[in-house]
Order: sequence, then structure tokens, then C-alpha cells
Amino acid sequence: MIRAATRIAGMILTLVVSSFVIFAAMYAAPGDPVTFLIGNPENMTPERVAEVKAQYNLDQPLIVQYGLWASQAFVGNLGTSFQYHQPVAELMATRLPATLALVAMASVLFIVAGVGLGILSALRQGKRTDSTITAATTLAASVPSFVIGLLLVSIFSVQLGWFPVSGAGEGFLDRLHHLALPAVALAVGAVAIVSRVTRQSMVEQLSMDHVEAARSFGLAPAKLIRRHVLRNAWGPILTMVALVVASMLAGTVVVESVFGISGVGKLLVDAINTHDFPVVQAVLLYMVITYMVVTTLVDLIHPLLDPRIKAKDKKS
Amino acid sequence: MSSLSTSTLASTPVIGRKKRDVAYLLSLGFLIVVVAAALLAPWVAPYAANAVDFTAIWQAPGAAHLLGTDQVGQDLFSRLIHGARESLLGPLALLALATVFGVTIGTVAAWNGGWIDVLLARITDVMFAFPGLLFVVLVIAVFGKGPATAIVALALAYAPVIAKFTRSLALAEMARPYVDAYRVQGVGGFFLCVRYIIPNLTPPLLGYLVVLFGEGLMSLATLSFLGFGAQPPSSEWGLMVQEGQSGIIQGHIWPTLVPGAAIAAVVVAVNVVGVRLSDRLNSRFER
Amino acid sequence: MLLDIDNLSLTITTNGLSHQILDQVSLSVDAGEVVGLVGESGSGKSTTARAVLRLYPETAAVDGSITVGGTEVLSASRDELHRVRSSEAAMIHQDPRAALNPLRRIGDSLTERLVHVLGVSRADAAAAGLELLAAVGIRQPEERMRQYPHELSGGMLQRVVIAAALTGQPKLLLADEATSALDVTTQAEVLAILRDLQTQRGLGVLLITHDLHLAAAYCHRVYVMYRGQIVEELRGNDLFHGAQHEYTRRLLSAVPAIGHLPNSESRAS
Ligand SMILES: Nc1ncnc2c1ncn2[C@@H]1O[C@H](COP(=O)(O)OP(=O)(O)O)[C@@H](O)[C@H]1O
Ligand SMILES: [Mg+2]
Repeated sequence: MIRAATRIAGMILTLVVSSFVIFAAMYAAPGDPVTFLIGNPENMTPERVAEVKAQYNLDQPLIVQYGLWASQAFVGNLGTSFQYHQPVAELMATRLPATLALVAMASVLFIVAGVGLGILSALRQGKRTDSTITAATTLAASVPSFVIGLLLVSIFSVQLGWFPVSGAGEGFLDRLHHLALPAVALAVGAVAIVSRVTRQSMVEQLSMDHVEAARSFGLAPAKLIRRHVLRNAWGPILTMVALVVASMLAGTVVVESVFGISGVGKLLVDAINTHDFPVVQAVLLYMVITYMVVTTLVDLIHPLLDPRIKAKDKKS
Repeated sequence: MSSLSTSTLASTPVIGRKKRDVAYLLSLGFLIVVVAAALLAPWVAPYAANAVDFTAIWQAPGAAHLLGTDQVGQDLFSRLIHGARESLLGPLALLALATVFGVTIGTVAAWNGGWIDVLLARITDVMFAFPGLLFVVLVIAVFGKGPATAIVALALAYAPVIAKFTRSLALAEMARPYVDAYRVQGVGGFFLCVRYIIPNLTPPLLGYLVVLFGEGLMSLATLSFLGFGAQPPSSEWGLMVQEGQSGIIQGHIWPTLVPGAAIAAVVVAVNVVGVRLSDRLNSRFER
Repeated sequence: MLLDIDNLSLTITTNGLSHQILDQVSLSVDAGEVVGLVGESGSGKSTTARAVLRLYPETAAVDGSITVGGTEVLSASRDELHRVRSSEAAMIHQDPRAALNPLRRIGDSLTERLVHVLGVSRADAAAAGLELLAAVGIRQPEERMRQYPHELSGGMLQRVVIAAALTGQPKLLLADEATSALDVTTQAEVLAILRDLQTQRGLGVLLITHDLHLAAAYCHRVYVMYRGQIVEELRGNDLFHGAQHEYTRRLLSAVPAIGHLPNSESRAS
């Protein structure tokens, strides 16, 4: 209980500081914030200046500005895009489904492939399969995701014509079809990390006495792996999977650009290119919050998998 | 994301010793060739970096153009060699910057403890709250695009990581008896840090930095690909990939494949060398 | 004979280096007999016991013969080996805390062999488990079944492990330093329980220990092992007086008289 409370308090503190960094960053820009927020000098009209001043309360002290911005963000008001003249929350809402679908698909892929290869690697420890898997996944992780994405497009979309070149698709099946290659591109790098952690965690468990004890009384290999090895190896694997999924929300920035998917990542890139700072702030804030919440949740759920930690926690 | 990947990848190689030796030598040889080519670019590259030739666009690899040409007939091989300079110097510069800050802050935090230590811990917390390249993206959104911003922003992101690593190494080093022995004799903290502690941290730090180099190269290439880093007419590899992108739809894969493969090959080679180097340096360090 | 090991040799090769761990080991255990296997740490005692259940690395080169209840273990088919492991011989490991899965309830570990290997229904397995827990002197067995290993003491856990070993109604117990990790009082209790069970059920026990007093007091016969070889076989009563072999004498002379070093047992091998 106390542990959970400290963890959540820590998360909130970090969130406050990082959101402040996101907000106050505009003051670090050269020139005054009004000029910076307007971006293109051609747009320097009186209406625009008024709009900016109203949105950011620039006549107030910095800490008050931040307080107003943060409390507005807290109730879902993320300001108005200077580019689209549309509430940022609305913009994000229309972009979010594609991004979430992409992350979900990539997650399924990298979890299945990563955990699967990790298990295989651990069971064939020290053999050829093991070193091949390690070498292949490490190699794949050394290719930047945008290169992988473009090669996939070139082979499977352009040459073979199996998949569309770009876009996110409409409806369930069409979306699956459109997002298949982007999901692969997003997942490849993560496979190495997850398979490595899975392997390591399983190898550790395989050497435990209780595994041999179970083998000594004739427990079938498949059950042995499931009941004694995998069950006990889950902790680190789950933590890593969650971390990777959470950071994938940031990884979509690149993949969405490669495949021309209008998701949140593409929105961020476009916003930077058009100096649409409210959108930049909102997207960053959303990504940081998601990341923090997921990692904290994992930290809180992790002990529930292990009765030993649960007991210690109760005592403390 | 990239900050997660290479650090976990760099540990526990399972490949046999002999194969590792071969891989190490091959990687080292490859890196030497790449660096030499970058240094000698004007002399070894068959064409100038931006020699446009509209009579020979989108050529496949052949005798005239070793690795083919791009959409305006620039020789990919020559661009690759010229671009190697910026592609390799970028991560080098960013690491140099990050290391100066990181090692200083990390050592001071370990030596003085107190508020500096607390501040470092808080800064690292906040940095780690930004997944992947997002912190860098924020800096670029504020200060504008360009290779310098990208390098400085990445250096800012890496500095706390290096500081944290340095701090843990320095704490272990400070626990060794010789430090107390000097202190008792009245040797000053600054002198002790600069003369003994930091030099003794160098071997493990160096191995770590080599791994970070591969990561930095990927990150910078990614930023250039997004249009935030190197700008035309540079032939930085990430930017080359971005420029090759338009050819993909028309079936021209070489302008993308060539720089993409170069990035991957250098990153793999650097990681292989880095793992080996840190194994060696650490074993010497421990003795 | 219940267990018959005949000229067992075992060589393990790691990184191109061959390492002969067992050299022509021969020993036997009859039904209802407690046989000791003593020797210094690293002499190959555990390897011998594990070989009985064919628990050695795939890369090991093994020669000789091991029969359990007439079944040749080394060349046994999968089914035969499965029968030996699940219902003819059972191993009791040294460290009960490590031998039980820390994430599973006691009841689950206790009945795992019955439910997941022998296909007994959960209810029947639970009933059998409760009975066995009572037999090894555990009070409030229902409550214990629901607890996790970290909630029980070492002595309690070793009783659970012994009970678990008996779930398949084996005829042979391989007790590898089964009480070494326990303090002296608990050790005596657990040994008494083991002895009772052994006589009641007519079990054959191969008792591996580096405690010579224990071996002398507890075993009908004792084998002395040294560097992978059986160097001497003695009756338990004769251990301290009848030793012929130089190694056995050295081993004995290194042992303090009873009472001087009560904690020598807890030094794990
Ligand atoms: N899997 C293995 N690989 C390599 N050596 C082993 C292995 N198992 C045991 N050994 C070696 O065999 C010898 C005997 O070990 P063990 O049977 O555990 O001895 P004891 O139980 O008498 O202490 C030791 O030297 C040990 O290092
Ligand atoms: Mg042993």
C-alpha cells in the first residue's frame, strides 16, 4: 500500500516537472514567446497576437501561465491549433485510432515473436538455434525502423503488390491490411529486446532446483516449462513488454511518416514543420503521460505476480 | 525506444569464442575502411557528392556507378563516402559533448552527494519520462531544425544517462582504500577526481560509449530522415534515405537500400567492437 | 535388489575439456534398507544419485548399468523412464526452499506429481496430500496447503518435500543431503520422521551425507566415495572402527567427536 502510494506520488511529481518542461520550453526559444508561438513572421497580425496571448495568458507570471495551461489540459482542453484552427483535443481524437491500432498490431507481433524466439533460444541454450536467433534479432535491431519500413514497402507493396503503399485504411479488415507492414516495421526492433529478456529470464529459471525436482518426478517437458519456468520468468518479461509498448507510442512518429499514416506521430512531425506549438505540446504531453502511467502500472502490478514481494509489501 | 535497445543488446553474447573473434576482426576491419574512406572522401570518391547527371538517373549498380544513382543522377557510392563524414562525425560530436557534461556531473554528484546528487536523480527521472526521441523532438521544436540542434539536443538527452553511469562507477571507485589514503594526507577532492578517479573510470566508460555511438548514429539518422537533422544538400545517410524515398514507389530501391544498409552495417560493426572492447577493458580494469 | 548400480562411469565434456566425474561406481540398495553414501564435497555423490533418475546433461558420456526395480534406467524407453521417475524412485533435494516453486502454493506443489503426472483427480490428490502432510507430522495441514513456501520454516518445508516425494508411492528414496540445510534439532526431527516412514513402508533409502556420525547411526551399510570412485563399503556400525581404506581414515580423523561442533551439518556441500 505504502509502496504503491510512494510510486504514484513519484509519478505525479515527475509528470508535473516534465509537463512544466514541455510548457516552459517556449521560453527557451530565441526571441520573445509571442514571436515564437506565431512562428512565421507573415502571420504576425494583431488578431493572431491576441489569439496567442489569450491562449497562453502571456501577461501572467510564468507559473500562473503553466498552472492555467495544465489545469485546462487536465480537463481535456489542450488549446487550439494555430494551423488548423481546431481544438487540439479534437485533432488528436481523430488521429488517435490509427496510432493505437498500429501500436496494438505491432505489440501483438513483437510479443509473439519476441517471447517465442526467447523461449526457443532458452530451450536450445548454447546451441546453433540459440546463437542464430541472437545474431538475427540483434542484426534486425541495428537497422533503423525507417529503413525497414521502406524496404518492406519496396518489396511487398511495390514489387509484389500485396499491401497498400500508404494510409491507415477504413474498417477493421482494411485497416489490418493497411497497417500490416507499418506494424512489422515498428515491431522489428523490439523483438530483439524482448527475446533477449525472455531468454535470460528463462535460463535463470531453468537452472532452479524446483525445475529439476519437477523433472525428477516425471513432469512432462511442456508442463515443466509452463508451470515452473515460464510462470516464474514472467516478471521481467512483462515489465519489458510494457515498457516497449509504452515507448512505441513515440516510435510511431517515424513509422507513420514512412507510411503516410495520419496518426498522432505524423501530427507531431507536421506540427513541428508548421510551427504549430500548441499541437506539439499536447502530443508530447499525451505521449509522456501514457508512458508514465503504463510504466507505473507495471511497477504496481508486478508484485501481484510474486507472493513473496506481496508479503513483504504487506509487512512494510 | 533506441535508448532501450542497444544497452540490452550489448550484454551476454552467446556466440562461441572463435566466431566472436572472426566477427570482431571483420567488424574492426570494416570500420577502419569506412573511416579511411570518410577521411579520404575527395580522393577516393569517383564523383563529387552533388554531381548531378540527368542522363543517368536511377541507375542500378554497374561499372560507371558502383552502387547506382539517385533521382537526379548523383552517384550513390560517392555520396555515401562523402556522407560518411557527417554521419560519423555527428554521433562523435554528440558523444563528446554528452561525455564532458555527463562525466563532470556524475563525478561531482558521486563526490559531493547532497543537492547535486538529488538534482541529478530528478533530472534523470524527467529525462526518462520522455520515451525515445521525444525530448529531442521538443528541443528541435523550440530551437528549429538542423544538424547542430539535433546534435546538441541528443547530447542533452544522453548526458544524464552518462552521468548516472559515471556516478555509479565513481561511487565504487571512491570506496577503494587508496582514496581514503590520499584524503588523509590532505589531497584535495578536485585533484583526486581528475588525477585518479576519472582516469580509472575510463575503461568501463569507453566500452559504454562505443555502444552509445551506434545508438547515437541511429538516432541522428532518424532525425535527419524526419527532416529535423541534416539538411540538403548534405549527403548524411539518414537524409539520403529520405531523398531515396520518392523512388521507392517507382520501383527504385537502390537510393534507399544503399544508405540504409550503410547505417545498419556500421551500427552492427560498432556494437560487435564495443562488446568486445568493454569485455577486454573491463577485465584489464579489474586486475 | 531395489537399486543396483554396476560399474557406472560418467564423463562430462565442457568447452572441449573432458572431466570424468564417476569412475566404475557400483552400489546397491535393497528394499527396506538404508544405505549411506559419504564422501567429501565434489566427490560425485549427487551425480550418482541424479544418474539413477537419468538426470545428467545430454552431453554426458555414461557407461555401465543402473537398474531400479529391475528396469534398466540408462537404456529405458520414455515410458519406462517415466514410470521410474513418477512412481518408483523419488529424490529429496538438499535445500527445500529451492526445491519448491516459490510462486505456487504448498498444496499445488505437493500434489503436482499426482495431478499432473499420474493423472489423479484434484480432489483425490488433495486428500492424499493432506494424509501425507499429517504423516510427516505437520499440524493444520489444510492451512499449510494454502500457504506459500516463504511462509513456512525450513524444517516444515523439508517435511513437505518428503511428503511430496512420497506422493507417487515410491519404493526407493534418494535423499541428497536432505537434512544438511536444517539446524540440529530440526534435523533430528526430520530424520526421525524419515526413519518412521522408511520402516512403515519398507522403503529403500540411499542417504547421501557428509556427516559420518549420521551415516554411522542411521545406515545399515555405508559406501565411501572419493574422487568419483567407491573406495570402501562398510556396515554402519563399523564405520568408525572397521575402515580399511586410507581415505576413509583421513575422513574419519577429520570428524570431531559428537557434541563438539554441533553445526558441522549446516555446512552445505
Ligand atoms: N553438469 C556438470 N557439468 C560439469 N561438471 C559437473 C556437473 N555436475 C557435476 N559436476 C562436477 O562433478 C563433480 C562431482 O559433483 P557432485 O556429484 O555434485 O559432488 P558431491 O555431491 O559429492 O558434492 C564436481 O567436481 C562437480 O564440479
Ligand atoms: Mg552434492
